[in-house]
Amino acid sequence: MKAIAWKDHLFFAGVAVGFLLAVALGREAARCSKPAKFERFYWSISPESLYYPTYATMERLALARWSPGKILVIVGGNSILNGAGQPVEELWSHRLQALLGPRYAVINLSFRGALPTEGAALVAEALQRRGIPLIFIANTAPDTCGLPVGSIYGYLYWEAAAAGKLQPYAPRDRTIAKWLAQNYPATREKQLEIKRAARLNHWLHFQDLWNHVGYHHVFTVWNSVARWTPWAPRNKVPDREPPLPPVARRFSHNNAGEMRLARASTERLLTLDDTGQWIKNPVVWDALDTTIEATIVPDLRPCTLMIFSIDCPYYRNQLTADELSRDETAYRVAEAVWTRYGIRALVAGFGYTGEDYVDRRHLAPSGGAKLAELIAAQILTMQPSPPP
Amino acid sequence: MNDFMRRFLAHRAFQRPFFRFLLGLVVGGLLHYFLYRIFLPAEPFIYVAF
Repeated sequence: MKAIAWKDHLFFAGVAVGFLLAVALGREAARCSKPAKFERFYWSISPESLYYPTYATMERLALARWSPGKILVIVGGNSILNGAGQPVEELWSHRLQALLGPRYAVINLSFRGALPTEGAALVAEALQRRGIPLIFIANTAPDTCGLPVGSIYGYLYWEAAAAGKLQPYAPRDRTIAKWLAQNYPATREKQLEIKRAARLNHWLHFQDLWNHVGYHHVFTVWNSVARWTPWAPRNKVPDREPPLPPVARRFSHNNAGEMRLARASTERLLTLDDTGQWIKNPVVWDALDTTIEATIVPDLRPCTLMIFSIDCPYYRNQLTADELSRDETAYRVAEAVWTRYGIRALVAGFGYTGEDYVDRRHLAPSGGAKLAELIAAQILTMQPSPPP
Repeated sequence: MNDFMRRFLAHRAFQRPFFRFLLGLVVGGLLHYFLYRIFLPAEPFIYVAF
């Protein structure tokens, strides 16, 4: 009987050692594992295919690109800056790197559908805190800033917070606490679960280890996006964009739906008064003011460039004169709002042709090259923070 | 320890201490993987291009 008890203990000792071994491997993965030859977060290494890059991975990617004496240019924002529609060889951020030269190191950490305050912004904030000279670029819609929590990429905020990477900023803490308190109980519980997961991962490194396994060896979770190669290690799934159709066939499908979206983007932002002047909708613009103030740390603002992209001319040409005027006014108002907080802002897309777009919003390689030229010209006149 | 667990641990193949420890190692690793899976937000991804 005694022998059996001794053997039982061996089993449980094995469980403890196995778990601790996995934690140690995860810790090692968190220290050095990152996607190889990284250019951007394409579909197979981003949450749309259940691969959730950790905050630590993003920070490591940025640090791997940087070396002392260089200015780090961190690109955040959504699919437009992610280069959706551009083959990776013709990615706009490559062009930006070429234009800026070796004194700058450009890293594209944008995600499809991400807000300017998510993911890359947190990396920029943390690296700035470590004294790395940088410039942060992001893009957004004219009325959108957004909290760093609540969306699909919100886990990155909780991970950065759990690791103690973020700059202390009480207005952001208060705003997130208020948002959580005022939200539906189900949403609140979900957020608290993501927060708990981030804290646990900080100590136990399960996300780090199994992301590493999924990237290098075998991906263990089936999902519909990767249904053709569900178990393939994600480093074997290439970053490919579908071939670009000729301009004549590029925009004609679902014109009514796209025009609805084109109109809706600024419809509720401004109202035309009796004298023909555009009046700001205070609900929208006050919310934008409050969110910028509460989510972007003051130290990051002087070295931030915010881009707004206008729609493809194919759709803009179908807008009425009033709608066009409303669009342009809304973008100018947005520029003024962001500038008021010390953030440089500019509108991209004026003068672009149909050739420069792959759809209503996303840029083709030629449009990406134009965007890179516009942004490079701005960056060369900006002062990185902290100064090199 | 319930009856199933007692019978499991008393199985002939499980009498060798090395295999017991090895099985424990595997279960420990699986527990770590289990944490990854339960916290993986496996919800449909809604893609919104701004």
